[in-house]
Amino acid sequence: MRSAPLPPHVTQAAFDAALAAFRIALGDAAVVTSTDGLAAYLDPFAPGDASQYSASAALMPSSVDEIRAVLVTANRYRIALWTVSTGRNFAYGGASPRIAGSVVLDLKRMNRILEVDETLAYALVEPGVSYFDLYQHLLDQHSALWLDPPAAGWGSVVGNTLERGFGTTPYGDHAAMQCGMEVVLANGDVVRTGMGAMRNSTSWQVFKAGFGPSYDSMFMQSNFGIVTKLGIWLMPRPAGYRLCHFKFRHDSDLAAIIDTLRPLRLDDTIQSQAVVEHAIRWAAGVSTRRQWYDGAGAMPDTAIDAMASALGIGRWNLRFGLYGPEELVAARYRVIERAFARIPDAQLHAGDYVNATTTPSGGGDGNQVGIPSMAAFQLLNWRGGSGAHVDLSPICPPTGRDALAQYQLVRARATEYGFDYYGGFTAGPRHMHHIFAAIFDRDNAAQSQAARSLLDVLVEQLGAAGYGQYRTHLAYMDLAASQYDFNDHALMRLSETIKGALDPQGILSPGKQGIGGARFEG
Amino acid sequence: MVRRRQFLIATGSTIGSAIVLPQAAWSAWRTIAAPAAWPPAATTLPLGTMPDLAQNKGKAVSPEDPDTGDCSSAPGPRTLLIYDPAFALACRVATHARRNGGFALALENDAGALWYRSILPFLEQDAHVPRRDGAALAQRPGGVQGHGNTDALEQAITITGLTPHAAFFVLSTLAITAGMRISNSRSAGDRHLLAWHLEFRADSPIRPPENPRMNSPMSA
Repeated sequence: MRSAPLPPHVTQAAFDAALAAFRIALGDAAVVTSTDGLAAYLDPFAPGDASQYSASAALMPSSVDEIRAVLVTANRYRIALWTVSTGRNFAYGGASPRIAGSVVLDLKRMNRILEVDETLAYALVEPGVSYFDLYQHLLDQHSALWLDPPAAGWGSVVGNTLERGFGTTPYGDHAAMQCGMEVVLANGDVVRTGMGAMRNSTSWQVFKAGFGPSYDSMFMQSNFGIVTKLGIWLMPRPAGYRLCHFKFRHDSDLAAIIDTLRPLRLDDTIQSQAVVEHAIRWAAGVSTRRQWYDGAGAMPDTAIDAMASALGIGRWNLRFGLYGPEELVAARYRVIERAFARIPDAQLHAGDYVNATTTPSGGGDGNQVGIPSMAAFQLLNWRGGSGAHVDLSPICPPTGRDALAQYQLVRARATEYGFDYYGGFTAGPRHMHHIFAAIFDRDNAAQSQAARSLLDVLVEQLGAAGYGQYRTHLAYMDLAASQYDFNDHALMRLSETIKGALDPQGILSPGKQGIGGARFEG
Repeated sequence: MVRRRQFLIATGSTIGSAIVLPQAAWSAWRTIAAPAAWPPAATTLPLGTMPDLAQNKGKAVSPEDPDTGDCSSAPGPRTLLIYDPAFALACRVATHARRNGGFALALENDAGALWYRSILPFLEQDAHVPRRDGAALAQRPGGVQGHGNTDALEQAITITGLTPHAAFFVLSTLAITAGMRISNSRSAGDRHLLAWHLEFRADSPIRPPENPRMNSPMSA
């Protein structure tokens, strides 16, 4: 007896016929319908009932031609497909579809590194290639290029880039480093963007725009097509680097940190994405909560101060790297040190300048020099039990006033719901994204529900204050999208118009970022 | 920056401190890694193909190197033990394993790196070693085709662990992608320590996904 849901508005007979067609196209083993097999597509960090986002089946094509064959059947039976690269976007939904009963189109078998160009410093990869895979390949090839890993190195290069993920090197804005993609449209047409639109192109991965309109960003965080190849720029390995960790003693230092940091990012004195982490986020990477506080409710300030002191960290901690020849790094550091020394009680620490082939000792530090890791997942141990987290990701202008406003709002609501403030800001040159993770024990229904409610309230209140989300868990996609409401939601009307033109049956990832889901719900 | 391991040592949490074996935890672990569930001890691992493991074999994992007592419940030679050296119980179990000819890998801060650098290459190499019936476990490329060879399945390596939840989550998620399943997991008597066991699925190819290969972009 099947326990999985049917695709929305599809009869059992039609679904059986569709599955039979999928099996002919892909082979039996690439069509997953068993309860055990589909369990892998449930969101392990779902705040609340994970089955709310359960799939009816999963398909694992291994080529563009197989994707096209799937689309023929999906269009014929109007089967909703939810595309994932490797499905490890945990805290935002993992491999689960937004609309229950969708068939997951899992691209992890398309895992070829198609090209690495040492001279022009780019890679062309398929969706199943993880950051660990690409890193290992660069090592094997004795490459002089660095990739920029996100916090979770097992993620897909394509998936993370399409979701506009970030890392911490100078190439940390992944979407900005993307150049050229291949997309399969809902009608089966295969399009290459930018210079790749030329059959004999010599410059697909070196010039983004091509000739005429540019479409790459239209396929990011969207459901307008299935991206099957993506170019990503890689960072030429610098001569050396210096990793810096500045510690700030007072909770109220946040505004001064951001206002000091902003001009240094704007003029590129600090080249990398700079991360401003709260003490609890740092501590969760090296310890567990009960070592500092085991009471109910959010950790009090006194306990946080004691913890920070014992660990030798600040209430706020600024991490960034400086890259290049030693003389330039030294000059940059002097300017930066002088600026931050003005903040009372600041402790400015920096590692020695080292050759770029030197590997830092810690996973988090490794990320800053192009080495993927999974060290960030230590946060799952913070509360004990079956740790999980759901993340909040508002965009924040890089001003002290805005950062303080967001921090105070988020921390206050988190405290009301019994959660510690596990958060921080990642600063680009012109914006910051503020990440707060509500960490909960997924075996504890009350905690799980509280996490879900907390995020609802936070998205709501931040939106009311003019702070939009740049990505969300499945549960909040509609809410976050609804806040982009200028001119009575003109942006969503545009998105729905494009969706209707490119995917008239609406079969591709319905509900993604709030687009195209309405016809499948209710 | 304070590393987790350094921190635990500095605070005397477990490493190097006097070790008292929690009986309840030991019992929980014995239940999961019951010898009856292990393949025959006569099956040997290809020592020459896994230098990382071979180097660790027999090493003391705790400065105390406590008396390990009855070793009958330590993992067998076809079981790879992953343990967190920050926990006394895990250190003791690793010592048991090594004394019984098994292999134990210490977890450091990054379970993902451990998987990609040590466990995955080991599984890939092991999958190509000829078995009693003369066939290698890895029969087909592609990573999704099952073979239904139960004898081969019995000879496949299993992974057992004594780690906190985060490492279990990371390793089990990666193992599932490689065709394994979680056959058991439970608390090891400590809120932060889990005992768990992974084995290949009956419908798995008993072969982890191949590492990506270079191919022409026009060939797809």
